[in-house]
Amino acid sequence: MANSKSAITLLNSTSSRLCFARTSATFASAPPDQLKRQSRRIKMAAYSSMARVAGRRRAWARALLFRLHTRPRHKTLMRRKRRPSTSSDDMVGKLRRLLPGGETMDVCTLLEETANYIHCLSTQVKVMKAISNHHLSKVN
Amino acid sequence: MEIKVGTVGGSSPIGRQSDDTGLESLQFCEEIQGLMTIPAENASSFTALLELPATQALELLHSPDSATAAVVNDDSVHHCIKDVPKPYFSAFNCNLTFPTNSGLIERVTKLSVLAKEHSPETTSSVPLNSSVNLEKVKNEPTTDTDSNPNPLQTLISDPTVENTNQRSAKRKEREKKGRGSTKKSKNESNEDAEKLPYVHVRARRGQATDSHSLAERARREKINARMKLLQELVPGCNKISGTALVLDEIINHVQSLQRQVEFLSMRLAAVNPRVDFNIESILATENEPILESNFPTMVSPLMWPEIPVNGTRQQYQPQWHFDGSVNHQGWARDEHNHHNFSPPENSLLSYDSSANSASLHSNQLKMEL
Repeated sequence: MANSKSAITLLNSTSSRLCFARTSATFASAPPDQLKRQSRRIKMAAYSSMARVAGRRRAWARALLFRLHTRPRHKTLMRRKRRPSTSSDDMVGKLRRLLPGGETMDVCTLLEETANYIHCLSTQVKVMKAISNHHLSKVN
Repeated sequence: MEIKVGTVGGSSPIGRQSDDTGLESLQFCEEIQGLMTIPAENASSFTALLELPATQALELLHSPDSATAAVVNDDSVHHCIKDVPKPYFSAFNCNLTFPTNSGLIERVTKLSVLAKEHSPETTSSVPLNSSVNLEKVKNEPTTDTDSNPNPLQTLISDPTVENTNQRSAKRKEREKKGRGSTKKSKNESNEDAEKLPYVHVRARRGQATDSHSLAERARREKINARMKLLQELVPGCNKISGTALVLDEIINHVQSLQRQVEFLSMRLAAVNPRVDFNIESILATENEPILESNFPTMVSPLMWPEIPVNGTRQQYQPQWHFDGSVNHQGWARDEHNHHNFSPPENSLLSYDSSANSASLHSNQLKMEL
């Protein structure tokens, strides 16, 4: 029940925020730069809601929220300005760079947080798929 | 029992407390008196020590550069002191009837005092009323290196065998010796009872038992457990063996998920935003179940900071269709801090109503579940 509750909360907040982000842009006949900005906004909203649902206890959620709130908003969400040069060749380094806030974790924490991150990301993908399918079915 | 003794004892330097032995020697003599009940049947090591040339014995007993030699000598000296009968110790400090010099005996007392000194700090779980016997039991497995082949050491154990064999030989010898004294066996059982909550990692035969190795093994087991959990989480990852391949698969999965989120956000941005959507209809038209994934470690979800009371839902419900035509400045301004909704404007009412209806529908869904 708690699982469904958290999933519903994620769905809730994601849908509300996506609606929220969409309404800030213009309509379907928008120029591509506006579309791009709009999609970025949607992505920010989606990641932010996901991190908020995951809670402050998760290191990746904290890092994601920090990055979302400190980054200037014209920057792309998931792009890093400066890649860490250390341990970039092995698999753990790759995973470290992939996970938000993974540069400062040790390997145990990194794997644990990765498990939780995969959970949340897969649920997020399902939620966004559901919303977009619904919209497409409404349009068609 | 032997594991922890080996771990704590093996990593401590021995010969570093050679300054305050004068004070301890007095106490040592008192404790020696308590030791005298042990039968003297294994005095061969002491005689072996005495059979050495005095210069070599002193050199062996001195040698501060190699701690292992000190440990070995310490151990043998313990045997010696324990097995020497009482009359020799009554005349301990004056003239000894042993055919040796008095400097050797002083070294003996110093080393045993040293051993008694360094043992309580290495094993912190020892109660304070532990006798010399217990400390001797603890000290004996510290002879775990074989870098000092001398005839003294061969009496105790073979210097070239591995650690566990040496320790088992020692234990046998100790048991053979300690048959008469029930005190030692009681101490051992006491020690066993105390060691149980401390040893979490089992070391098999032939594995290293010092604390770094144990910690490293615990860490590796933890990483393996996490890896197994991740392997169950990522689809199609069960059949792969090998840490690098599994990590590669995990990385690909995370990347694909992130790309999917990106793609879906683009797709959602391309969709006409004026379409009103209802969560109930979304869930009704949903083919695959959203709730199938379980969140074992997810914390309690963050609810909306402010949700209007339920009675206002019908009142705000007609404004739900004005989503696309609301005031743009208000939305754009509030977008960047959307975690604190404090709407002074009228345009946010529709948003709140949408959240409210969504939560209500989700409540309905929960009731259905």
